[in-house]
Amino acid sequence: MELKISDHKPVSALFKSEICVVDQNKYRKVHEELLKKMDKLENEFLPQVTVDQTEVMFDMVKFREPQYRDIIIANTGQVLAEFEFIKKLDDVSYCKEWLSITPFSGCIRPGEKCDLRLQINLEQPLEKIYDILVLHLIGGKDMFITVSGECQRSCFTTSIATLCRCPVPLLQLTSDQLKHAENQQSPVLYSVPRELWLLIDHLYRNGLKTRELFESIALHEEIIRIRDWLDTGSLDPIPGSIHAVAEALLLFLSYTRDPVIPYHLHDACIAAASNYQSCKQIVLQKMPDLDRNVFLYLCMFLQELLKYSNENGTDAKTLATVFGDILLRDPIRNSRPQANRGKASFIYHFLINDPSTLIIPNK
Amino acid sequence: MANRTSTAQRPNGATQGRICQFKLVLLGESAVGKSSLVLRFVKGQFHEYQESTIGAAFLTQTVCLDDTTVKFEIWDTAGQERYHSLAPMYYRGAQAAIVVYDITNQDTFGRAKTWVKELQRQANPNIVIALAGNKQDLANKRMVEYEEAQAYADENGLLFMETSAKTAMNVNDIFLAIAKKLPKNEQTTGPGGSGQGRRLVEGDTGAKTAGNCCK
Repeated sequence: MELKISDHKPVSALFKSEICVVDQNKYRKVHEELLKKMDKLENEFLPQVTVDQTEVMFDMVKFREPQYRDIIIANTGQVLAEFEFIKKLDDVSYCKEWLSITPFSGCIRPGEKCDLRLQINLEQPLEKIYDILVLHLIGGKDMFITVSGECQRSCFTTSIATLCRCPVPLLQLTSDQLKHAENQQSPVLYSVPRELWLLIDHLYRNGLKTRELFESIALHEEIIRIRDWLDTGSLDPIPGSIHAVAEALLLFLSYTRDPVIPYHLHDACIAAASNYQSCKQIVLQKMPDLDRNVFLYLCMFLQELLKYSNENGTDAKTLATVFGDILLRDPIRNSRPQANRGKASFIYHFLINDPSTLIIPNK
Repeated sequence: MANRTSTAQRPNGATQGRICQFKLVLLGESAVGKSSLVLRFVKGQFHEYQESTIGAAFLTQTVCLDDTTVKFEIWDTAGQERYHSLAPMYYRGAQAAIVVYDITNQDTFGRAKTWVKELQRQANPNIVIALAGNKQDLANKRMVEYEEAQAYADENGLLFMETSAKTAMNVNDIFLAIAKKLPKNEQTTGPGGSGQGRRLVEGDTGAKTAGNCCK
């Protein structure tokens, strides 16, 4: 029977008919042929894309120096391709915290392309950059994209305990020296990290009378130069403006592997915040020696700064707020904004009381 | 939909219209011929230089048994070791697996055994596993004896065949053997089952067009 469509009025109908005899062999043949046809159609109409690279390599990745790579996804199929990055089993997100993907999902029409940007920003200590991303097509295949690169270590993400054991600047260390320092097998050589001392000493000599020392934002390149200067142990004078050095100090204290006041003491500090004696007890009895050294050294510097409040315009409350947030930073940044006042109150005590009673000579 | 339902209810056709859908995953070391087996099975093609799979390719294929129609959702995984940790994403929830090795390479047989172990430990406990000794066309360079693999398969309750994606030997057969062994009662989805909405659309459209009889 030939199918024709009326040019005036399309007509269609459904027929219900009883079939008395079915030739099973023919029936099966038709059935299988139809299924084959459907399989073919279905596979043809699966979304298909290609990516221009499945290996994304980054150059040496350094602290707070973002890099990006672009990849292109092209829709080579016949239908709209909806893509998204999906998380691997047991992972919490579709990529690691040092990576961002924009866009991480989208739609591409047949024949069209889409650029994706993978950006790395390293803010934690990491031996190596390595992850496999799973790019999933809704209703279709998955593709794996491997992201890799080397990481350069930096004093900004190294623990205080390690830095105090480093005989030379971080990038001059042999891997053995570093390993021993990290495992706390080598002796403590400095009471505070050399890098911290360099930053604070510079501020002490040149910045006591500077206005808005910890409140202005330095150029990114200046911070990078200071980072390299500290990590390589350059003999040149410290690069960057006084404000950049101040910001570098804040960054240093914000990114050390653990906060200066260990996480497990935070609740106690906040609870004790209304009482200086209780605060003192925590610092004296609960804090690890090196962390206490750093804390008191910093407080003494801030007290020096406060002696010049007339010239630099700062006050103890402002400094307590800025440093409270950093020295008692949350495991997930700013996850407990309600605790900020308690943190500031805790620090405030150490800015207005004489800390010399807290100094214990090195054993 | 109407067409399909009536097919299923046809008294003399019994359950011929019933479609059971199963997720099948291919595992095995890289370059043993997983993608080639799928390509041969689904499209009847063979490429001497098949590109390495970097991800998990997805295709579907239907096979007809006497009483049921089995539709495979095939996930063809990347064999390279560095992607090993991603494999559970694909074998989790799979009702069938083909573990492939290359009969000319003893290491790939060892690797196949570790895949079988991993599946027995971590996959769906009722998973139907088939062992495929591929590249049978290169039997003159054989490094894995048929009997050895057969004995291993028997010990572990696996289906076993030597296959050749190149000559098509045993390719349909191994998928067919899996289809036969799969249980058709619980996970079966009758025609028009909710989970397959997307995949049945094209078929339905086709059926309707054919039914639209205009004069």
